Amino acid sequence: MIITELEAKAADIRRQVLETALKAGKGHVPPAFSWVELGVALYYGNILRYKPSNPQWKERDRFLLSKGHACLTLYVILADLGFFPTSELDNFAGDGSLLAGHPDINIPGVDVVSGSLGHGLGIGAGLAMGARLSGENWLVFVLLGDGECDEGSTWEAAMFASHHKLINLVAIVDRNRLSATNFTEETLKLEPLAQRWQSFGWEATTVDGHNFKQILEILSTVQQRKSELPLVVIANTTKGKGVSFMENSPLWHHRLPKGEEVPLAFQELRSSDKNSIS
Amino acid sequence: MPLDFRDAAFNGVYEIIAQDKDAMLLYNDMGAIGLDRIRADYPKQVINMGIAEQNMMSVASGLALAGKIVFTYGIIPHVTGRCYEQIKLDICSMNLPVINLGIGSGLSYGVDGPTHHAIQDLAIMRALPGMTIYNPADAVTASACIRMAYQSRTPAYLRMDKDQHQAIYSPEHNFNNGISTLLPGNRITLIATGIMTHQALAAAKELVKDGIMVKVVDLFRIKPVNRDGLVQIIEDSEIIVTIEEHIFYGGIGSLISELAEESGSKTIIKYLCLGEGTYLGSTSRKWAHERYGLSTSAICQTIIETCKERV
Repeated sequence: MIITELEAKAADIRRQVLETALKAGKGHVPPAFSWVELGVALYYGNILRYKPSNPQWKERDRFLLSKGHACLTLYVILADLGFFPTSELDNFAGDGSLLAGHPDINIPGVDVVSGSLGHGLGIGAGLAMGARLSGENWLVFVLLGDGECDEGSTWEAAMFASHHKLINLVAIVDRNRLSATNFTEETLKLEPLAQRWQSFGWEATTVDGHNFKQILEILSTVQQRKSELPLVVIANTTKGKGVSFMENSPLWHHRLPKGEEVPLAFQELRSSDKNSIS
Repeated sequence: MPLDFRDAAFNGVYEIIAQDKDAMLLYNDMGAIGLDRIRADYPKQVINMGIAEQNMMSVASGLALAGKIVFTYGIIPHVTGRCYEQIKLDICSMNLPVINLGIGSGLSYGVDGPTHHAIQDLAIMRALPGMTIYNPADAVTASACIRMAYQSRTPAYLRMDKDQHQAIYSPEHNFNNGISTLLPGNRITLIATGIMTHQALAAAKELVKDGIMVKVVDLFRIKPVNRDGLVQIIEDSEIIVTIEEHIFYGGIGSLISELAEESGSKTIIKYLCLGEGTYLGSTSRKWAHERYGLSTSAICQTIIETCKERV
């Protein structure tokens, strides 16, 4: 896809995320919105190798959504690609639904149970190590939240991955500068975040997490990277991106728009997309 | 067959790693002679994970998702409570072939203080769906459990005592049932686990002198429990005494009381265990057994008094 198509897809994904959450009456929409461009780049920008008709394809790249609460974006993408029927979105977080509030491995296209923060990077490191030991060349991408970098287990994994030169592991941090109740820098300062990763033996690159050109420029190099250091992409993003009153606010973590906020939200999502496909 | 549980277990792991290139061993910087041997001969299949147990379990999960069968090893509190979320979610919820070898069951490290006591781990590990728990009474059982855990390809936890104990079983014994009646008896049964099985056997030997024949049952597979076998034992007994180097909650005393309740039996049950404290100071085994009613003489006394109760 070319960039304008990716941007249209991103707008489409945001609309579907919001529709799904409103129908269910629950869901972490702003955290889902902040990584939409990252998700679209990975799945539609020729980065991840996968087969919707064969979710267990042995040579697939693994994508681990370590910030599992932001799963609405993943669910909408997987449904759109045909991993499972779109009708499943209608039952998101419903009784006995396939799609719970955090992802699990019953869902075609999901490789790991996530939602308890701080696990994904370690599991990803294990996958990457396993791939290398078996001589397989698939990659492992782990998307973390920045608040998730509070968890000590994230840094245990970072040390391990660097020590063992797991360059088939790529970490992406959705740096929206917010966690559930407050700005990250008010709670536990993460800055200077890039230097922290570097001091743990990683190569750290910073991108605008809503700019496809920048995202793809870095992600398209990962297959051919010649380095001894694993790569972390720190993506500067906006929580709630796409709906102005949700953006960058501690109030908006799992709050849903209501009343007049709903049509306003959809209006903004429609008007932000000049190249809508739908 | 060595008498040391750890040596026997690592011998078993060595054989597995030697013939299965997808078998791996992770450890948290905790040494063992048997482990050193595996690392020397099969370095690509052994990883020192450092003092980072949460990562050890997450990485074990990732390796298993990539097709490996993974043994993890460390001192029990560090490889159970410390990384419980990772065991619960990264391993059990995905039913992965990760076999957790914990050294130092009960008060094996008693003199090292409460940070090294393993007296609550059965309670938390029993709560994990899909987790198989082995608590061998001798090195022969430990070795057999390694093989069974490897063959099942599902999450498992093997507790190993640090002290050496005499062999109870022959290597040909069939360990599939999870329990063994070691001594027959007349309606008075000691149900023990781990090294307390030796204590139960010693008590049974003493009680013969008083004309009391007690049955001794070794409960070495704590989960999944052999429900039918144990319910039968409960129903056949007028008196049961459970013996464990663990707190009451969630241990085998709890387990037997759950089964007795289910079966509606009227058996009198006494629970010998380690109370519910945090034991500061140098809690050596012998001292603790005498203090908490787990010594041979205390076990005998419990049986004798309970027999009087029954009358």
